[in-house]
Amino acid sequence: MSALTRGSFVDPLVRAMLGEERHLGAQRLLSLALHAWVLTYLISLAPMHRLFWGPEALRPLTPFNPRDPWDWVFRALLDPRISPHYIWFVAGASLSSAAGLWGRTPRSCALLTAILLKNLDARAWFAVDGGNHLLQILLLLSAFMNTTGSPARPLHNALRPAVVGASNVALFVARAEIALVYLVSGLAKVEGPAWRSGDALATLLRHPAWSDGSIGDFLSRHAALSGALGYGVIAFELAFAALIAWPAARPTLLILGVLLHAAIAYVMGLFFFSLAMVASYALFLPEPAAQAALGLLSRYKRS
Amino acid sequence: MLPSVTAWQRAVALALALLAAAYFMGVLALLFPESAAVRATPPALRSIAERCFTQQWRLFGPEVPTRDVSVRYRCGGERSGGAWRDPEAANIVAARTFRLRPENKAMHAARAVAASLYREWRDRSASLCPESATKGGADGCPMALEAVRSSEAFERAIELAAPTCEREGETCLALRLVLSDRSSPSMARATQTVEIDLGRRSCPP
Repeated sequence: MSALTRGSFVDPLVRAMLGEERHLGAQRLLSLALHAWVLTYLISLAPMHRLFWGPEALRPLTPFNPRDPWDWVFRALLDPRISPHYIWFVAGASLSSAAGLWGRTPRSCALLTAILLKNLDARAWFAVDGGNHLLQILLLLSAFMNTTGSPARPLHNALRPAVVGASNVALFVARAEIALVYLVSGLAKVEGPAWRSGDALATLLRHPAWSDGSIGDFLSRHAALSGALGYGVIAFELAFAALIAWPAARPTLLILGVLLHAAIAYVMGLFFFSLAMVASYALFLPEPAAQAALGLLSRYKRS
Repeated sequence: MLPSVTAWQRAVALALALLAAAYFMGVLALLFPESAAVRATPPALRSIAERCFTQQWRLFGPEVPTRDVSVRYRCGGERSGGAWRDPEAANIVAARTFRLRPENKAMHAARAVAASLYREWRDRSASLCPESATKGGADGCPMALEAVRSSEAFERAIELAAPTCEREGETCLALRLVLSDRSSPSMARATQTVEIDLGRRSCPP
């Protein structure tokens, strides 16, 4: 406890954590990207809303457990009494993400959108991919960030260090989470024999689950290209995890990441997963670039 | 910048650092659920991590599948003589015209059903007829097929196909599981296909 009462070696760390909000633009941009993702996702699935979220949607593997309090928060839509009213969850998530885009009470909007999206995803479990999971995590973390775009103004000045600190820590955790995504998926590929042999991309892209087979056929005729692309993906993922903390490497990593995810969206049809990954890149934008992007968006909004 | 650091600020920083540490402990518990260090993570922390911060990033490094599993149905049952239909087919065609169409997500319903039917059939075969489980095919273990027909996975497959048949005035339908094996990971085209007739629903005797 003495370290809490006396000045000590931890003070520079405390100042770094609580003293200043350095990434307000990046956090605002992340919030906009997350809410835009949710709106696009809901709108694109809306024409088949009964199939995804209605009471007749495919039943999930794990049934609703009324004795589990967490189920009442995150899986309430699976309750047979609530299930017929799913449209309110869709409307609520849409309104809350629209309010988040508008910049109204962004923390509450992020939290509400995350909870409603978790309920909807629990119902449409078969349509959920890594992009949904990432969005839910980032929405929950962004509820702790200052996503208003301007410095925090807590009710009492004494609370300011806590509010600023929570925002900075949530930003750090969110960045680490993205690096972890790439680290785990890169290591999982290194463990796989097909990825190590260079066959993986050609084989995956000839599989009916992932593609119509034409690109896979092309790659299997050009084994060297298939191998180079496969090793390139692994190298990128591991490099992202290792180097993203280094500011000089960020522009290259982010540009390569956008190209990789655009290719995944186009070739494998994983549009929302790719969009979620690219949305998360807002976390790593340098502040001048984030402010410039926000300036462009506000000019567009005014016009 | 803080001009001077107070005890209250140090306490806040310590609490936030502990929260971040708890978060990463929860994440580790999800990524490495079997490791000894992680088993020491409090169950409450693990439960929160599971519900709020699902970590399934290994999905992004998928092992190349050596077996395709799909489900087929036939309105009117086995005796109708009609073609076996793929519940995914229309969705796949629609999704390939434009990636943002909802069919791009809807087609995963048939895949999920096929995967759970296959798991059910494989596990039942292994437990009820371990000696014939390696043979595969419908003849390997009639008891397993009987068990699959009374499973939740079978009910869901019926739910998936029934609306199409009902629109055509048929309440009777038959289901088939199609397993396509590949001899090696680099052979993407199926080298061996096994079709398992799972049975039918609401069909006249």
